[in-house]
Amino acid sequence: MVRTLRQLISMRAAINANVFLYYLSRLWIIGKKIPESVYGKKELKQIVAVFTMIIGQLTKLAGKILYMMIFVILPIVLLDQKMPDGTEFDSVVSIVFFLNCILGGTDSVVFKVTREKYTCLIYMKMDPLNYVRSYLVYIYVPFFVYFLPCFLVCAWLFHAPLYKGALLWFVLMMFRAMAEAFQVVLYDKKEFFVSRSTKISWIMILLCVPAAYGPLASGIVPVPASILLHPAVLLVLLILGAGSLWYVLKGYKGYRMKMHRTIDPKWITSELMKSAGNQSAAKEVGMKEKDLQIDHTKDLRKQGLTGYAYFNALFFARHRRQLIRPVYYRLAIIFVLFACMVGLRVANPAVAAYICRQITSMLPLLVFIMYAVTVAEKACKAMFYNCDKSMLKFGFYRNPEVILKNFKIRLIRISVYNLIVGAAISAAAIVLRAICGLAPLNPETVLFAAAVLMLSVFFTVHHLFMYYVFQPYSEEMNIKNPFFRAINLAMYVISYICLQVQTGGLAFTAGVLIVTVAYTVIALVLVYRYAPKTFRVK
Amino acid sequence: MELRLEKIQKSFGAKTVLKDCTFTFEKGKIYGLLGRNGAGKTTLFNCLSDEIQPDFGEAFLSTGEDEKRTLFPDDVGYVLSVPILPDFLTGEEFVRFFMDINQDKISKDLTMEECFDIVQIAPEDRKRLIKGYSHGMKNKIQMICFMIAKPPVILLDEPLTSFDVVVALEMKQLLRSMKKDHVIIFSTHILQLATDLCDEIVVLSEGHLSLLDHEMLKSKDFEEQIIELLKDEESHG
Repeated sequence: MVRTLRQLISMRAAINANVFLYYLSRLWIIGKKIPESVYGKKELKQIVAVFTMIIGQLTKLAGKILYMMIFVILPIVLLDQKMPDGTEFDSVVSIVFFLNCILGGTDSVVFKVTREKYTCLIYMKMDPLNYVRSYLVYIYVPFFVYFLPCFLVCAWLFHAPLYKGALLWFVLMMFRAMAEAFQVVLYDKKEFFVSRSTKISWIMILLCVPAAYGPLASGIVPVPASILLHPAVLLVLLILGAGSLWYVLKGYKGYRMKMHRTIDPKWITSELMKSAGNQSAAKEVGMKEKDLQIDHTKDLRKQGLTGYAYFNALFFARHRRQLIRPVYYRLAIIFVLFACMVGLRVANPAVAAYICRQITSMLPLLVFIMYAVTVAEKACKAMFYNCDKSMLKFGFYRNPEVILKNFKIRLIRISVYNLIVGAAISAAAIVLRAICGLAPLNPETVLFAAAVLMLSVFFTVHHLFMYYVFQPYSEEMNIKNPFFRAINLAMYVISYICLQVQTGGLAFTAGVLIVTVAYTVIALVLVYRYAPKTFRVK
Repeated sequence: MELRLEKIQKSFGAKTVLKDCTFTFEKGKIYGLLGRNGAGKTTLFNCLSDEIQPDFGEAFLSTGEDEKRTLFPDDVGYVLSVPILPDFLTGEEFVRFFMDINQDKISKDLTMEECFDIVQIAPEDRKRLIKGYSHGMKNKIQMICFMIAKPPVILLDEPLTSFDVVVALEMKQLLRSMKKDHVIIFSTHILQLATDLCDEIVVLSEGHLSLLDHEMLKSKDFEEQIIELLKDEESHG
């Protein structure tokens, strides 16, 4: 076992050192000075491994301290006035019981799937029992070592004898041993993993978190030290915990036969996160066979479409679900709001008229709304994922003229989608004014409508410009370009700030018009200038 | 017609993959580009098809003694080892689109249906989304593109390796029938495939291209010689 543990530690250390060096080599300026051969320098890597190991352990310790401060000490300090004096340490015991002993027990170290575990057991055919033992030691020894000082400090802080802190630590250990054993038994009998059930996780969170803090808020400590640290309870825990520990480490004979079945790579946490991006892209903009069936493309040739016009028409026809349906949803929402206003006009004409007068001053809000409702970003994702990702491999498709030709077709098409939404908003505003007996087309309303329509075009241009100039997506649909993120964030912040602007008025409307026109012109110039070079699969 | 590579060089960081690739490929021949894994075959193809820019050197097409011009991306038909086509079109629609945009250089001797017949894609499959196509069918669609546009240079990156025996044979026959109008280069690390299909074998080793002697191709211990040649790379490296 000691040898396996040593192998585990050195493997983890080597991985950590490599990861550290890899990210160092990707840093700006410093990265260039790090040669590829650095991974082969044994002594240097040992130093790096020790360094990363220390950092890793310190982070874990800091994590425990932070956890105790935020989830245990802080709530107790905040609830101090509501609780009877001298119950602070009891509260610590109660919180630790619900959060760490019960809720924490739904986690399982035995059945945790990691890349190393996969390598060790599937590729290297390590003995599963040995692996489980070593891995439990590898995870739980630091876990408990770091919790001990935390509990002792808590006891000291809340004026309880230190041994009570130590006893609480003992209780936690026993509970964790029981939880691990329970999960092994459950798997052995029913092939069920508590730790992998999202449903159980949520149920436990919804039960344990209120149980930990709720009663404390009303001055009751449900599981005080006098119960959990009672000698009789401790004795029962000792017997059950020791039995569980024996079962997990020695008694259970099924690891060799069954362990490999529990290591499905889809449960590797990092893998899950990595593929999530790709899966969500497929879900959001991916094609389905159904899209072909609801197709209206039969007469495209008869309409005289050829070449890129034909190609793009097919693209848009096959992506109605992703692109046109959202437009319908938006129109439906606008219609419902419009109907509500008509209802209000009938029920209370004065309020309806008041609101109608205010509509034009709601433009700041509309900047944010138009930002949120644009279908352009989704369209760009769909274009990349289902079309450009593969088409950009063809030389003719990368031809500068072709890139700009396609850009133009797409810009017009997506602008139309967004303009439909913008036009519906403008029309609704004008018609509402008329219904409420106001002049439907005063200068303010005309400017308002112009600004809304311009915003529809503006956000289309913005997203297409970002797509064509930065082409941020990788083939796995991860966003790789930091500029893309930064500019998009800035756009969000600006739109959000507009939301905070209280007074709309003529000046604001004029400002929006000027900014959108200027941005659109600049963006188009940049696209025509740079897209032929930058529009590539990265 | 010839494809001339002149001193093409490409490095990634400190690693020089292509050192000095100078070579002349002739029309009417199928060239097998043989190299070990990581020798730079795909990098060379990517340079020729403009996927990446070489650090130095250039590729030319020459039609006579003194006539040569730069190789343009659309002179090159490139079949990637994993074929990539737009999922949202049917095979027929993609070919039609391809014919539209290559109208000026299209060969009039074959109709779209004839092309599909030649590569043996069944009529009902032509109207299915490419999304559902197998690897082999996608490659066949790419071959149709070459029949239509007739690019002077056709590059095939590790083709045939993932085909079943029937499709592999069909593809071989197709390549043989097409070779008279093109410079065809296909990269592989499978020796058998190279000797079986190719008229010439070019070895990419240590970043250089060299033509194997025909005498060597015929000799009995050909395989041993090739392996020695490729092993050298390791001992030098």
